[in-house]
Amino acid sequence: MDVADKFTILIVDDTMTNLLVLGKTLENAGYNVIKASSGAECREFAKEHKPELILLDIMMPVEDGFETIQKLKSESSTSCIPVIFLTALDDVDSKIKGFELGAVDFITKPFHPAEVRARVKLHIKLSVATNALINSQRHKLEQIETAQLALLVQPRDIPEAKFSKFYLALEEAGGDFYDVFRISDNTYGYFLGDVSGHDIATSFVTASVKALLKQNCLQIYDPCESMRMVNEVLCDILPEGKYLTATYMNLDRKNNIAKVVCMGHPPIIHQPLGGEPYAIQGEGDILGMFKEVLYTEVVVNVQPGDRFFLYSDGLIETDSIWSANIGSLIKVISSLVNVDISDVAEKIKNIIFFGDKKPDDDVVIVAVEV
Amino acid sequence: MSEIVKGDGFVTLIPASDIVSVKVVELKDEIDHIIDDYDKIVLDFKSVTIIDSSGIGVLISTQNRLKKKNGELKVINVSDDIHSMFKIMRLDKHFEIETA
Repeated sequence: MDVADKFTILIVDDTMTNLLVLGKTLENAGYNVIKASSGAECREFAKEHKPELILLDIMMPVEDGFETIQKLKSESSTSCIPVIFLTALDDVDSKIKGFELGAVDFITKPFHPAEVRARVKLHIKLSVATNALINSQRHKLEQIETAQLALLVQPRDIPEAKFSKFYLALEEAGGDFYDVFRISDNTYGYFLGDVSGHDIATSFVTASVKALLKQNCLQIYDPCESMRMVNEVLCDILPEGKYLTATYMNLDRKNNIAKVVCMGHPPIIHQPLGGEPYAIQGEGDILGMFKEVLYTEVVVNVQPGDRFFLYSDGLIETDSIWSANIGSLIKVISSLVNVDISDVAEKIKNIIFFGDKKPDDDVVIVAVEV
Repeated sequence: MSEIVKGDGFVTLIPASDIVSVKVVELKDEIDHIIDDYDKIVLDFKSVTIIDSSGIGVLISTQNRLKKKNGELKVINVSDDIHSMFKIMRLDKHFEIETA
């Protein structure tokens, strides 16, 4: 099949003769042609028909080609359509300005049909190749997303850890993650981290941290020691500029003790049975950036029925930075005291993000019951 | 694009807008260009109201690079909101931060 067989070209020119000549040239080459006689019409047709390529005249009344291309590029549905400028102008400044505004090529009037066909064919081919590359990258990112989700332990996998979770990654390579793991018969570790940035490197960090937690969160170490060791390794392996904020809780259900470490992350909320929830304020450095770090452990005496909430800043970072919104979260948690632990995490998210209010960052909530 | 003011033994970078992921590469390039010539870099946050995690990453890696050659990073004119976030992250223990 010829490259022209399935592609649509939008031609924009205020001179009818040019539209006819160009239209005929491209139709003869097998393209589907749409014609517009002004910048406004061009934008309307581009949105409606999503052509593979636009041939755009520069000198037009009311809205010139430069203005039209700017508007096309600032509209998400038309920003990726390649634009070739049609111009009688042969001066370098106009060409430079055109390229700066996002044009891919120029065709100078008067048109030579063979040149028009050759340039159009070339840019259609480039566009097809670019789209194929984007699709391949999208597919890879989707695989990463699947792999990341597979790393997240589900409440049904370890019912003894008695937790529920809500997890939403806004992009394929999400920056937030959690882990829940057994340390000894009655002791479980609960970790929630937020890796800086949203890129491919982030997803590799998630896998590394999960492995490091498994190696270092052992019964023989206290939580601060475990986090120091995790930090030590992360400092060596993380790419420059990457770090994590995190919270970690070691919950010993036999001795009714929770040990909490905060690493530059929003504080864990403790809801004592029959009491009011409060934030456990601890001090600690972020993970993976500084070799010399300080972590402090907050020890909390608990009883069966107490609850803990670990969450990412995306849950409470709305108009201001998250520290200003902890009070509102505590009120929400307080209102859900009679809700079963298996439903709590989802309910918190539903109360905070209702109606049109949508998260603008990853959101993770882990709710734990003693 | 940051304004760059060269002083005696130090250089001040004044980012023109918020330091968020789309601007971070530009800031990092600007720092890369000057970090070999100066041991002390001052970042003036007078036009910065938001900094995201990738922006904070650039600050910390800059401090770590300067520290290796006994230099230092200083961030000035920091808004109260950003300052409170930096304190929670204990960044104030690793480099000097001055509020507006």
